[in-house]
Amino acid sequence: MKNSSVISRKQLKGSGRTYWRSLNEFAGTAEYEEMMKREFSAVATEAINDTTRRDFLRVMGASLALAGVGLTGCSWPREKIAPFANRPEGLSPGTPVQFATTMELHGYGTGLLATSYDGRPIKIDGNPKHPSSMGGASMLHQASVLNVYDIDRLKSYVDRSTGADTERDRNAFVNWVSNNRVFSGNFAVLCEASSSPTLQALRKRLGGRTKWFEYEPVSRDNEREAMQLVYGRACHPVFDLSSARVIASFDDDFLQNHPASVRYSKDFARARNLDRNAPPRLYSFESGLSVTGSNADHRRPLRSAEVGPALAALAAEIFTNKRHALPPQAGELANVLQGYAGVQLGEEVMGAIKLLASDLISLKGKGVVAVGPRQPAAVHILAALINEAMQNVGHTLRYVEDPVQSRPSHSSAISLLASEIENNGLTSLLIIGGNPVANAPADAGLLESLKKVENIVHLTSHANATSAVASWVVPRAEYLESWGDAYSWEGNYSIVQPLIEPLYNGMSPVDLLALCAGDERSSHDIVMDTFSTLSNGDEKSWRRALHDGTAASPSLLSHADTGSYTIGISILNTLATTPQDQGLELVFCQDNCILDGRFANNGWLQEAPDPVTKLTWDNAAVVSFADAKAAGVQDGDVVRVTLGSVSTELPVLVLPGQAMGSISLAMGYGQSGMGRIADGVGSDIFPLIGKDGLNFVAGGRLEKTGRRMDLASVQDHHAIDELGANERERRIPTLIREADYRYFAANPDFAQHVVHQPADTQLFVTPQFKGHKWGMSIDLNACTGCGACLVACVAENNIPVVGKQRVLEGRELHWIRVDRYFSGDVASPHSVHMPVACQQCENAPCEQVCPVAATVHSDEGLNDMVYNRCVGTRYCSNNCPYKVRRFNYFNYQKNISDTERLVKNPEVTVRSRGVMEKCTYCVQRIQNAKIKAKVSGRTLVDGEIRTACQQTCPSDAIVFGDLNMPEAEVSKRHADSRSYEILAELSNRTRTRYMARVRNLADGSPELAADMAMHAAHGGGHADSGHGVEDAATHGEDATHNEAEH
Amino acid sequence: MAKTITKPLSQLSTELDNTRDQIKQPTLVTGGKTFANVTEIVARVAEYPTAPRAWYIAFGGAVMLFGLLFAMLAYLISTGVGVWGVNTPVAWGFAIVNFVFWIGIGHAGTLISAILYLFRQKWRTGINRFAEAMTIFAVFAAGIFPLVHVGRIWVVYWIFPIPNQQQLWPQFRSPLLWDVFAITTYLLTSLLFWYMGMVPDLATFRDRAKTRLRKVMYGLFALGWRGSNRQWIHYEKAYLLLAALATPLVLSVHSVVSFDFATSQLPGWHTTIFPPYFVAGAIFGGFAMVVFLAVPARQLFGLRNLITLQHFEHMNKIILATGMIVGYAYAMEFFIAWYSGNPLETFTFFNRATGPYAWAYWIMVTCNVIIPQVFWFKKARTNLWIMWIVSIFVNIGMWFERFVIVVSSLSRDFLPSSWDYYVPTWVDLCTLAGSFGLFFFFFLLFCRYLPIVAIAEVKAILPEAHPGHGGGNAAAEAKA
Repeated sequence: MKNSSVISRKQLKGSGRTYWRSLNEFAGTAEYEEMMKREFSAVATEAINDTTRRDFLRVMGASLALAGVGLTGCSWPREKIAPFANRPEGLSPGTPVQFATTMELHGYGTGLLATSYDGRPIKIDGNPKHPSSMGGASMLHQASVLNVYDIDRLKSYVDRSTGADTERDRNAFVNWVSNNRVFSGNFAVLCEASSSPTLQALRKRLGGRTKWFEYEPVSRDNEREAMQLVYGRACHPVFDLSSARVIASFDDDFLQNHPASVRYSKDFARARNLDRNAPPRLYSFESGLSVTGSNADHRRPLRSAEVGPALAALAAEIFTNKRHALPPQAGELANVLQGYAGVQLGEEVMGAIKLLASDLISLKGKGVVAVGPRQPAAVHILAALINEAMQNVGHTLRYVEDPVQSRPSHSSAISLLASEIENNGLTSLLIIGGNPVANAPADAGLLESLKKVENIVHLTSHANATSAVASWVVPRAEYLESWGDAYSWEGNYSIVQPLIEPLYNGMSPVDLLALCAGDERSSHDIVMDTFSTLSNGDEKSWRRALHDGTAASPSLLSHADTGSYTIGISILNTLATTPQDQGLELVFCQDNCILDGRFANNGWLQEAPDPVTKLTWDNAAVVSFADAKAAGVQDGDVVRVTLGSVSTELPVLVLPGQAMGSISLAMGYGQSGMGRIADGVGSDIFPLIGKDGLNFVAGGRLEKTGRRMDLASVQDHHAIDELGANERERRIPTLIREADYRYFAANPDFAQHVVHQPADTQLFVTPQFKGHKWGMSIDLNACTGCGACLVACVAENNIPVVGKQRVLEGRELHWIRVDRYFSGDVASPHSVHMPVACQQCENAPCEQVCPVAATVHSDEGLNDMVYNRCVGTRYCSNNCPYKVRRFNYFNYQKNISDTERLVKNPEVTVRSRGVMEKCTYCVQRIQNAKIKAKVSGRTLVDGEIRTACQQTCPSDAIVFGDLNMPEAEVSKRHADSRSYEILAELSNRTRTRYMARVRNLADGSPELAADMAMHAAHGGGHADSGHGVEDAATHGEDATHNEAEH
Repeated sequence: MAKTITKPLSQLSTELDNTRDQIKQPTLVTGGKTFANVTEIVARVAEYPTAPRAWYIAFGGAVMLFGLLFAMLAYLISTGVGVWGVNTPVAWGFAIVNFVFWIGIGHAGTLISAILYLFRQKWRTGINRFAEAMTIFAVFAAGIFPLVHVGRIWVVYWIFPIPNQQQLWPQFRSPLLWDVFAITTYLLTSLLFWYMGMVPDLATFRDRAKTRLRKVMYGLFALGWRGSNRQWIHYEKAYLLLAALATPLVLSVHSVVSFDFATSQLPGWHTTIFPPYFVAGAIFGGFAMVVFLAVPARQLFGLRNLITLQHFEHMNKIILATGMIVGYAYAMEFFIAWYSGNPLETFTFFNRATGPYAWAYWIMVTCNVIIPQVFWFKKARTNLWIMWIVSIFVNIGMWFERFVIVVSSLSRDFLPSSWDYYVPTWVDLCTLAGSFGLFFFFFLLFCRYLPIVAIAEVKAILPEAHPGHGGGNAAAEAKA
């Protein structure tokens, strides 16, 4: 605090009109301190000590009081952060304020809105004005707010320059840097991927001799390298999925594991809007089942090494078999492709390739061929060629220049740095973020090299293996605590705006680089300077950019010119088919929840189930059924995965759709020393990653260890028997109703005729809902299963983290879950996702059985849960057919530190032990909106209330609103022919309804045959099992079928 | 008198087969016992200076298990329901299984004392006191579980309709609330019935008491009973009325308990067969428990002439009959599951028989349906060892019946994504064992200190009490 007050005072003087960034910073002003001494003499002495939670809150409280009492005369607020909306006149404590900011991941930013409550950020959502998010946010964005309150964050500056670990303050570090002039000589920066132009500007200030490296274990540099070869500039493809009609993903998880996943999900869902026409057809060729693959119409599991040959086979199909003209740039490609015309990938794969080739040709300019970052440059080049030849460039995709043009690739960064140290006697190294010592290729020998560097400064949020070799470890300020900027994937400049002063007085990358460069300006001024340099904007446009979270300019150069490209034939020769007998392929993937481990200490993400495997709290060796059988292993068997001389042990998870011969291993687990959540969870797979196989490698071996481990999965808790599996398969079509587009076009109300529905006669008087009548619609055609809704709900509703043991016991507390089902062949299954939260039944079975009336119906039709009244008989849960009620088996609030409590949403009651809880349709948001409307004397408008899950949903699958409002989106959706209730035969009259999924299957594909067979079977195939599934034809004309008596 | 007895209690009576020659009026008390003998036989159990060694061993065990129950409940209440194996979707586990099991055990008592009384089944007199006591203690054991299984036991009184300033009432549509009424009514009526029946015998004990403490204690509870004609007239009337009052309860309690399941939506619970099926099962299990307790008790306490083989044979026949009803119910559930055409229901029952909990299902069928079939043979009905072992199996089977109903239905309900497998924790197992401790603790105390056979009623069925026997006043004398 002392230091920050020095800095902020300096800053206040320097910038004319005085601004303060946060209440905490304001607390550093002279006036404040004087007042504090006068008013709160006892507190004041504490207030300038280290920020503990208590002090933090007290300072908050005091400063708010002062703001009201002492500063009412000032023109207030006069801050540099312009609130996005809802700005109150003067600050009323307890009123949440939203600020636009940006979160950078893998070098690209996503525009977000952060909600701050009395000075503490509690919720992150997408920024509707920002093209990168358009209001949506991923689970990572949602959970990032918890990182601020992580109690295991590095809280002090650790000085190791003298040999021993000493905890020092910021001043000591600043003095050390300026006194020793460590960053003036021969030094390098090893930075996390970043597109920040401010960092680049500071890099320039550091001087020409500075070596700049970027490293993250997973990068998109193969694509960058390919684009450099093809277009001569480092650039990346940006798809317009909303206008694409056929999309082919070659190992690319663009809906989940991609810097633009939020935007892509939006566009993909929009393209699937059936008001316009058939949904786009998505093909996927990949080794491990990804979110994208699970949404594909046609997915073919392939080992990662076979994905390149598959793409080559596609090219051969297009240019050789179908004799499509090769572009002149591709010159002699025809010869290369000759070799691929007969490539052996199996009948099913080749069948899909043929269909895809026809689609791409017939839908020219409306296709997208996407290649994942795992694939080598040659595959990206080939994809670029196909996209050019199919005239997609300029229509469904454009190329945007990489913000940082001059830097070595991530894959070469570590060895270049090592040679820099060995050969050029590098004396100082600045490591910004990351943990390269642990996650750089194991055989690169980074640790040995680093030991030779005299001064290493590591900026990090948590102490880790890299900080163990640093001379100074600097606590990193989270993005919600720091100024910065970034480009989004599609090229928009956006500003990282802080909501609070760094809790532990940490530094942002901008702060640190500025310090090293001797730039005395505050990070705010530096970022503002970058903005005005790039955009020639004045302060007004800066404020506008801050307020909106985005600016029209500057944006990255985008070029869509066709023609000016070259295809290097020689590199394409490397696309040889890999021999089959090299042992198992190991695929190193980024974890869907904790990425490369950077979020490993985030409880929300550890407990968020992986969207595909549904696994929490662990990583596993994901293997196919065939490989599991061959190795004699099943779920939970601990295996030793060996590659050469290194091995790691982890449990097996057998997943349908995993490519045979390929094992997916998620990185980021097996941390030690990071924090109490991350440590000891899962196994570290980084030792397996070497220079020769950064993304995937052949030659792995799998051995049984004989030990077993329980896998904390939120679904399929136990291995299922045949009876259960058959029944599950039978039920899936009744729960998730789907049809091919052609069937849907002929039978638009097919979803109404799946399950026999008896007459809805009631013993009790049916209540009438005259006022509001809340309802929800979940469009399964849009839902990708990404899991953002789940984490958003956790953040909004103060849902505690229960831990691995409790998940194993089946006691997870998530109010909304995303059910994932497989059907069909285990080798290449059809997968579906279904978010399930409380269905808010009008005729709720839970209400009738509660002996104390703790769950009752509101007159707006909400199934209210009165926590105070609940005695915890759990009868309601037993009687809930959807099993969405969650019970507090223990007091999960007991061991939460004061700091962690700061993230709680004050609008939502924290539940104690022995109480049932469940989704409330975010009743706190409903009430707030109603109060607001009442105060301003108007009625609510549709869309004014958005539930947390709806707000974050990247694909807008969830719509909430008033069913008594005919023009409301939700009313329209409920009236849609695709809308149906699950388990409608129970006459619960659910308020949440689902919209049937409509696929677009290619003619002649096995999937289409299966779909047709399924719908045909409804005619008579179920005679002996009663009327579970009904004949669609018989009831085709029966419009009032739901009410019909049978 | 107690002083003169030197042989252990168990050797003071003889075994006589009174199950043959059923044409004549059956002899319900063997060994040619007189009124005085009957009083002597029953009273000496409580008056004998030391109980049989087996009693001490059993009581020691019961105290330890009872203590275990306290420890488990303390752990449960201090930590949370999470110490049990319950989860989502199986939110009810051992606690509710044990509850239904014990309530079921309690059934035989009321049936014997009320329904058999109304039907003038005289053989009931030998075992009714015993069975009623068993009922009371079984309901004690049962009553604990619904209370402790809730998440917040400190507010569990909200379940009772207690007037309060917030005017918050329980929710009368909930079967759990009906349970509260049904069980408290049942407990009160049973207690009253048991106690009232015991008053004349307590008076006998009082009159025979040698020590001041016994005099005072038995005297206090004998309520000044003198055995006057007027008292007997009132007593008989009241007993008849209570019997009439208790009779519907035999049917109602377990029907209401079955409503907990039958009124829900869950396949496997939601079925109209439950009320009769539960009642039959309860009588089945209850009689098995009576046999289980009576066989050793009559040996230990020298009651062979009062609780005779004929009594056992009657009970075994009831076990056979109710076991068949239960077996029929199992079969009918399957038939309806198929006949209803409801695929969810069909699956639930196939899942019971062949799914992950098939082991529990087949234990249930074996114990409840197959093993009692031995009672078709008279030899089995009248062999103490066979019937005792069968009674154990029936009790195991009936416990598993409730386990199958509660757990297997919940573990695989509507949405396959929620399916899970319930595994009890050590706390669950210890709590179950502890509930037996509670039951036996009270039951063994009862055996030692209270008239375990209804002396007055047994005398009434002695030949001497028959008007034709010559001593028309004998019955009245006997009761005095």
